[in-house]
Amino acid sequence: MSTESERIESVSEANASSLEVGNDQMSEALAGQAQELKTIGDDKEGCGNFASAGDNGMEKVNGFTNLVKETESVNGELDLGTRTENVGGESNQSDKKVLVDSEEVMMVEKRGLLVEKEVEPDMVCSHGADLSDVKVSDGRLDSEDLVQDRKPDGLEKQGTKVEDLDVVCFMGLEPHESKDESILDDEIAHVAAKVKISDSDLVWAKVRSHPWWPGQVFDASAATDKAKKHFKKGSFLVTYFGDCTFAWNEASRIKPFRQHFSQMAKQSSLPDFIDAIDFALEEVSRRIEFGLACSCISEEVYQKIKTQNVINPGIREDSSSIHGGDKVSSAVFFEPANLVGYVKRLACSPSYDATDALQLVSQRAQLLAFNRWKGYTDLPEFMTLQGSVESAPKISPAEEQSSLVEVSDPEPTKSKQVYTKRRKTNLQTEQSSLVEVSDPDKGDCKHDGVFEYEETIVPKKKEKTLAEFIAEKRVSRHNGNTSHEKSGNVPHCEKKRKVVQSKVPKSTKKIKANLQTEDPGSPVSPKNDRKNNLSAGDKITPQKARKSFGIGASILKVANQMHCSTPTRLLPCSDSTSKKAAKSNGSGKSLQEKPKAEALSAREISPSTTLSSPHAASVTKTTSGKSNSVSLDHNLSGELDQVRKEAPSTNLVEDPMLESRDLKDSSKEQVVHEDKKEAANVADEKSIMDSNLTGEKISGLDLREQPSNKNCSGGSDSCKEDVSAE
Amino acid sequence: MESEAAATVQATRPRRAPRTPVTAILTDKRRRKPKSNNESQLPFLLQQSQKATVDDTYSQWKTLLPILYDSFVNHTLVWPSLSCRWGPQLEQAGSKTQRLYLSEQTNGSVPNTLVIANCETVNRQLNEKAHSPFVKKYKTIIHPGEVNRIRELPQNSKIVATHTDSPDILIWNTETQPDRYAVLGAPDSRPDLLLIGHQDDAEFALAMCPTEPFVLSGGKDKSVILWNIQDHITMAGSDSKSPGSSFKQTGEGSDKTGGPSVGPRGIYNGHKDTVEDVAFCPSSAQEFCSVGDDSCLMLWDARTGTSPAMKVEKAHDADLHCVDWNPHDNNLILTGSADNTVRVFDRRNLTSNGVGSPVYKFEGHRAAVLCVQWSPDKSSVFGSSAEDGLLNIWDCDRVGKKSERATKTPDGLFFQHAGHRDKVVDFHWSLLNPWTIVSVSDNCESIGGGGTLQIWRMSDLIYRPEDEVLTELEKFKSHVFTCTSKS
Repeated sequence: MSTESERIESVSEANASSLEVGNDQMSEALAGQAQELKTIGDDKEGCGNFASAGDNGMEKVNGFTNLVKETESVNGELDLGTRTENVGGESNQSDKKVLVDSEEVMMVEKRGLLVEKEVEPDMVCSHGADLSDVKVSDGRLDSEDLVQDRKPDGLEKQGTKVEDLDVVCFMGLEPHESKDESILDDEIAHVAAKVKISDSDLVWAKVRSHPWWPGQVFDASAATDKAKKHFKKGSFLVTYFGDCTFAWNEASRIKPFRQHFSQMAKQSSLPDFIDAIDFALEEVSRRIEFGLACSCISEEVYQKIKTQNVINPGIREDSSSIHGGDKVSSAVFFEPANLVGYVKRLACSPSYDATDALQLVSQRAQLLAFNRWKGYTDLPEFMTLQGSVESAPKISPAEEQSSLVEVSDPEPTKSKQVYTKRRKTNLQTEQSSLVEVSDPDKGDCKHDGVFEYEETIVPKKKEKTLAEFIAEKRVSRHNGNTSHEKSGNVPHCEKKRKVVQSKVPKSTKKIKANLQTEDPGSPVSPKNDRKNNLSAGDKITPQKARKSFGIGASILKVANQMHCSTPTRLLPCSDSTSKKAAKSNGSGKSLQEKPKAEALSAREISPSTTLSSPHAASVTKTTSGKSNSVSLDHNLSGELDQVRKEAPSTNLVEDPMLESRDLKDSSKEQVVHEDKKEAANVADEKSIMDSNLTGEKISGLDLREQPSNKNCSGGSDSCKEDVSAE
Repeated sequence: MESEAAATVQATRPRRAPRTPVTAILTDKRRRKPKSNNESQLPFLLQQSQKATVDDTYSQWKTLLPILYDSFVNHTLVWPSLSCRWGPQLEQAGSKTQRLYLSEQTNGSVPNTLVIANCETVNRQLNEKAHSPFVKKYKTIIHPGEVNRIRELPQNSKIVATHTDSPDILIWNTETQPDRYAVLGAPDSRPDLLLIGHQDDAEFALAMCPTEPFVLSGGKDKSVILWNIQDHITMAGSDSKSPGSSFKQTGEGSDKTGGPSVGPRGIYNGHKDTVEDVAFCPSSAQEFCSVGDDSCLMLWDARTGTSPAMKVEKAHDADLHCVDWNPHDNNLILTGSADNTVRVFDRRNLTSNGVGSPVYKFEGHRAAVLCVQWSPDKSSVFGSSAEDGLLNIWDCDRVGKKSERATKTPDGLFFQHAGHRDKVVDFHWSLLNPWTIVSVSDNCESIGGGGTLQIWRMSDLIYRPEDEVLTELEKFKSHVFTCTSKS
């Protein structure tokens, strides 16, 4: 029975995916057509399954979120070993089920994996993909049970559709679909997998409670040593857009990007998700531009679009530059009539929704390529008349802008101070841009939100921490960005983001208002001020501004920071270790159990007082956010440092030493990975924060207390959960 | 004085809300009041949600801009503008600039002005990074009263006529007028000429003849009046204070500016309500047409008398707001109305059974149409702007040819300019740069007051003949093949 439900899951996914194919006008699938045709026999059979399976693919996802609570305990970097123990007799049954599932559906590699896991229960993987599959499958089973009731809904329609799309289906078929049909035939599945998912393909990939996330497949040979540690046989290395994480995904958790775009893009409206999609689309665009580029265009442009630079802790540096495009982006698929038709349609109703974004980006890339061929460097942009026609201009635009910056420079509030401080220094160096203005809002609010979240809604914890994580990254992304983009250009895209986020930053307005009243020169209502700026729309098109914070040069810096800070203190294993520490602390056990990563274990071991131990654990937890986040933003590490630096004023005696070590570590790594400047920057920033901190000890303390409390409780909660679950 | 005028207007004019005093009470942008001031009638929440959708569509539109436009320039105006016109082209040190006339509608804290600006041409350059064009204020004229409408003399576009909330039409020579600094209390500029004859305010209906120095105007007195500027020039010579011409009327003394004035060549009566717009026949200075709040379209011939030569009752189902006469085909007359439609009439066949029988009916706007104008570049193409914030470009030739277009697309529509977020009160095709339009919106309450000026040209993929475009794209494609295979 469990097998049944598992199959249903994957089958329905296949189903959903095949339906999308029809919509996809670029028909990436064409490429794979030949290979897939041979499996038609099997697939026919599969279609029957599809029909009965209904449209549960997405429902399953929903079901998943219902189950987040359970899954979450897994996500939250819990110690796998303990969990398994705790599951005890009752869940033995489901464990078995899972084993059966895995064997049948996930096949041989999976088996190996499971074994591996049992051996190393505390092994934590990058994106959390394979952390404790046992429990995940548990949840999955449950969710399917839930979902099964609803199955009949989509049945008939689905069935017929599938029939209609017969051939189309197979064009878009993914290896996992083949697998579904040939559940017992590992070999075929394997072959199919090899054929279908190829290096550098853009995909949607699923990591547990996350929505399907845009990513890119990499050859296993590109994996860094760290990533290799988590290697699973038969899985594909997928790097994720936006948050720069990676995971080893089984074929069943990977879907082709284009075919599924309109379906997947609807999943979420979280800014992080939207951002990730934007990054993915940026790459789509680059590939198309490249596909339609020839040596006649300017060398500069050609160099720019020739290479994709991937910054990801899971990808070796020598594999991080990928040249060229892909086959679906080649000129063969360029249809002038389509383009003209599209443009003319759009001209009559200039609007679109998220599901059209892929088409939009594709067509725009084609247009851009065409324009380059004609000799233009770029597509037309939203430009602003320079100068004034006002009969009596009282302020120059420049004045206005700077005043704006001034006005909205956020007031440091307690829990936000880390960011604010950083912000401040930035503002001084890079006066002007609106990005700075609105960034803090974002960072701060995110930040706040995260903690609230962790405290109140446990199930969502993981997602939220991811959000936090990305938010951090985004902040730094912008920081990196502003130095590349001239001030005037950036704001618009910022605005766009802001619109998306407008619900979130409540506190901002207040702050701004405060500042405003303080600022005698600008008795403007903040809302209006902002509005003016937005409405002025004096900013350029989003994609231009975006360009620089894509997977490209400007992010390099940031990413390197992330890169560096990660391994020193955030090795995934450390999480479980720390978790253990926290837990064993409660149970009065010794902490010296897992001396794995030096820096980490050192830190964890050091706090031997009952007070500091959970604190340390929670710090790790906060920053890592989730067990799987391999890369860590610099901000976070900064925060971490800060928190630790605070410590001396309270209880943690050994902290200073630790901190310096960390600092050393990170700077060493930075030197290895990038230029020394970065390291210097980091150090600088740290010292800045340091001084700030001493100046504002009280708020600093607040900061420390908040997360630690919450996380402590969060941590112990989940521990308790484990126990009480039984 | 101005506020008085504004009050009158608000009370008496059902259409064109633009009179809303700007939300900016002071000239300083930063001091602009939020819309929660006393002018807002809507509940705050409602406004917010409306604004949200406006912003959403706007940001979407911005994303699409690179695809849909060949060039686009935006300028945010402190004060709303009711009219914008292209002036003469100027050659300045190699770079092409074109003069731009713009009105500023203030709330009385500063004088209303007519702004003359030099605007850099917005053409994209090959192999060049796009740079934002410059606009430079050339001259400010302190206008007695709000500038409701600006029309330039086609033969000499340095001469402009303006309508304000008064019975007189003001003629300005933009070259000789002194530049003024618009501060509160500054005396008004003196118009070069006053055209007098209206018995009541003439606010919007204004046209200049393409062949003769004729000015045509309509007003609340329901009459259409024709002047010849020449009457003044020939009579008065260069002396601005010469004894009045024979046409001069007694009203001169009552005018505060006390400048020279000219009386009408003819007064044409027939409308039963306010005349909202007038247009000359492009081929004849003696023929013109007018539309009004009585839903009538009237054609006049100065040679045959002062009663309408032709009259179309019920040309629309509501007030007519605007009219334009096709410069390429002088049988076609374009009208826009408060019934949200745009119609094209053929003057050879204006009515059937006593009511208007338009050749084409374009339905796509969701609010009253404020301005229509034929394209100088293609005889079947015209634009229409409306209170729904859209400027639609239509092509009569596309009517009925729906083919591959989405069914929801209004018949005949082929481009929608959604860059304005509030009523597009005026626009003008450039005669010098093909397919280039300057448009201006009155932002009233929607996005914080002020106005938005935009100069734009749609992508040539859209307006060029389709097969020509396709050929070029195919050429591009095959080039990519051959070129990349070589390398």
